[in-house]
Amino acid sequence: MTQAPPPPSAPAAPQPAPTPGAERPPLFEVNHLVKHFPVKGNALTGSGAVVQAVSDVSFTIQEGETLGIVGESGCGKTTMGRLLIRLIEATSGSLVYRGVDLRSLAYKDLKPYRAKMQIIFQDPYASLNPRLPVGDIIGEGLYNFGVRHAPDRERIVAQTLDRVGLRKYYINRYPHEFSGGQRQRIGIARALVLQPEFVVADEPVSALDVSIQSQVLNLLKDLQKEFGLTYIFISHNLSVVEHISDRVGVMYLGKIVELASAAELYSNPRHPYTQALLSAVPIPDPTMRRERVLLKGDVPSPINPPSGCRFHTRCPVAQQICTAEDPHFEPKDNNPKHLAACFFSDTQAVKEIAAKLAL
Amino acid sequence: MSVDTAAVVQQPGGPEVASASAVDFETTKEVGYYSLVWRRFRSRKVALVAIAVIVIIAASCFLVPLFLPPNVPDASNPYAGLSAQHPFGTDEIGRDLFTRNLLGGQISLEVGLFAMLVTIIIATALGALSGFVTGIVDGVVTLLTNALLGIPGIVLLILVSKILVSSGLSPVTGVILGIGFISWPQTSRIIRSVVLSLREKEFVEAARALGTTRMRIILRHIVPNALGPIIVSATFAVVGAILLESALSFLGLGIGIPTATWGALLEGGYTATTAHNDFLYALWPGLSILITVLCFAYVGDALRDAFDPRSFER
Repeated sequence: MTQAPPPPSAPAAPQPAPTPGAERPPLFEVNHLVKHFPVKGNALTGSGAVVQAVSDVSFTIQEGETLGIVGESGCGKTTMGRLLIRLIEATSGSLVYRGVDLRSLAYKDLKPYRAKMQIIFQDPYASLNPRLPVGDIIGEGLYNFGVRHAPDRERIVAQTLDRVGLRKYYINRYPHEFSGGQRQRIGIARALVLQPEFVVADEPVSALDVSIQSQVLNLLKDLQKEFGLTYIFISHNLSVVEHISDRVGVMYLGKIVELASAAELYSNPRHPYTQALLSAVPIPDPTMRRERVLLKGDVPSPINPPSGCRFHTRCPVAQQICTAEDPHFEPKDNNPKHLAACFFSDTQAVKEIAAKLAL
Repeated sequence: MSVDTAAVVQQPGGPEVASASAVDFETTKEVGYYSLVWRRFRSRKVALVAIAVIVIIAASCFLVPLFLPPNVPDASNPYAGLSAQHPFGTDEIGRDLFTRNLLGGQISLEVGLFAMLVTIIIATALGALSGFVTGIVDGVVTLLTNALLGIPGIVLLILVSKILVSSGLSPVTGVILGIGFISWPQTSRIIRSVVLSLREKEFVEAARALGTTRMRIILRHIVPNALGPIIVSATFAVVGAILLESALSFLGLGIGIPTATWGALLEGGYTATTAHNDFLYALWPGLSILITVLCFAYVGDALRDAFDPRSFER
C-alpha cells in the first residue's frame, strides 16, 4: 500500500528513552480496568444494581504482538475491547497508550488516537452502513482526518481494497452486494485505511463460514506482518485464538483468570477454568480421546457474582478458601510470564490434569 | 465493456472527480439501495394504481378548474339535480358543485401535503434528537409527546388553529400548522424508536471509532437509515391531515366559507341530504376523501414493505 497521508494531528507519541537491557515499554498498559453497567430497576426504587461486565482487568501489550482473549458468551470480552478504544467509557482504571492515559483525555482530544486505534467488528452485516457505497464506508476515516479531496480519497481506498483482496471497482457498490467474507474484508479495509498501530479484532471470524474463516485469519496475519500491527484478538474459539495469538488471556465473568504465551497456555493450563475450556476442544483424530473436565451448572449472574473466587461455584478443585478470598492474579511455577488467579494452580492435582490435557 | 467513468465516480466534493481519478475503474452496473426499494415497490401493482389515481385526482383538481367558467352563484337555481351543465348538481345558492368539488380538492390536498411536511419536520428533528442524545433531552421530548397525546386531538386542533388564525395567519395556514402541531407526536415516537436502535448499530460505533463527529453521524448514518420509516410515516401523515381537515370543516370550524374544501362540501351535502332526502350531494366529496385517503394508505403500505430491511439485507 502506498502512503496514505498521515493524519495531520497524529499524536506526538512520547517515547520514554529505552533503558539499555530493559524490555521495551509496552504499547498499551491496562490497569485495573472496571466497567459496571447500571441495571434499570423500577422508577421508584432505582435498584442501584450493576452488571459487573469487566472487573479489575490488568495486562500489557507489546508492540507488534497479538494478544488473544478467550471466554464464553457474556464474560465481558467484547465490552473490554470496546473499553480499550473508548467506544464505551470505563468506570475506573487506566488505559496507558504509549505513556498517555487515554481515560484522562477529553473526548475530543481523543481524536488523534482514533487514527492509531481501530476495531474490526464481529457482525459483517451490522457493521457496514447499508446506505453508503463501499468507497464512502472505507473513506470515512480519511475524510475525518483531512483527506477532503475526493480523488485522493478514492485512490487510497482503491489501494486498501486491493490490499485486503477485493477488486478496485467494488468501490461504488453497496454492502448488500457482497458475501459475509467480502463484507468482513471491507470492515478490515475500513479499520486499516488510516494505518493504525493497534487493532481490536472483536470476533472477526465468528460470523463467517469455516472455509472463509481461515482466509480472513491469514489476511489478518499478513497485514500484521506488513504494517507491524498490534492486535487484541477476541474470540470464543480456542483453536482460532491459538492459531493467531502470541499470548492468550482467558476471561471468566469479567476477570482475566489466566494469561500466558499461547504455547504455554495450551500445553500447560494452570487455571481449572482454562483446563475445562481446553478439554472441550475437539481433537482432529478420531482415535484419540481427551480427558474431559466437565463443569457443573451455568455461569453465575454478573449482577451478583459469587464471593471470593468467581469460579468457585463450578470449580472441580474448589476448597473453603475459594468462597472467602479472591485469589491474586500472580505468576505460577515462578514463571513471570504465566499468570493465573487460582489458589491451587501449583498443586499436584491441577498439574496432573494439565499434563493429561497436553496429550 | 466500458462505462462512462463520470457517472461511476460521482462523489460529493467535486465535479472534476472523474478526470482526476487515478483509479482505473472497470465497468459495473451499480444497484443502489433506493433502486432496490423502487424494484420492490414496483412489484406492488395496487400501489402503482393508487399513485396513478392520486395523480389523476390532483391533476384534475388543479388543472380542470382553469378551463371552467367562473363559478358564480345563481340564486334562481339552488339544489339543481344532475345535468349536463351541472354534473354534480348545484348547492344552496346555485353554485356548480362539480367546480366546487375540484376547488375543494385543491385545498384538501394542499392541507394534506403541507401539514404532512410540518409534521414530518417537527417529528424528525425531535425524534432524532431525543433518540440519539437521550438523557434529559429525551426526557423532555417524551414528556411533551405524552402530554400532547393525552389531549384529544380534534379539540386541541380547534383551539390551536383558532389561536393561530386570530393572531393574523390565513385560515389555511392556521389549519396546516395546527394539524402539524397535533400530529407530530405519533410520528416522532416512531422515529425515536428507530433512531434508538440505529445508534447501537456497529456501523455507528465504527464511525465513532473513526472520529466522525456527532452531527455527521446523525446526518450520514442515522437519518438515511431512518428514511424508510420517515417516508412511510409521511404518507400516513397525509392521510391523517386530510381526514383531520375534513372533520374540522365538517364541524364548521375549519377554513370557513366561502372557501371550498372536501370537508365543507360534505357538510353542505349533509344539510342537503337531511333537507331534500338526496344523498348525492354528500356522495361526491365523501367519495373524493375516501378514494384519496385509500390511495395514500395503499402507497404507504407498499412503501413500508419496500423499505423493510429484512427483505434484502441478508
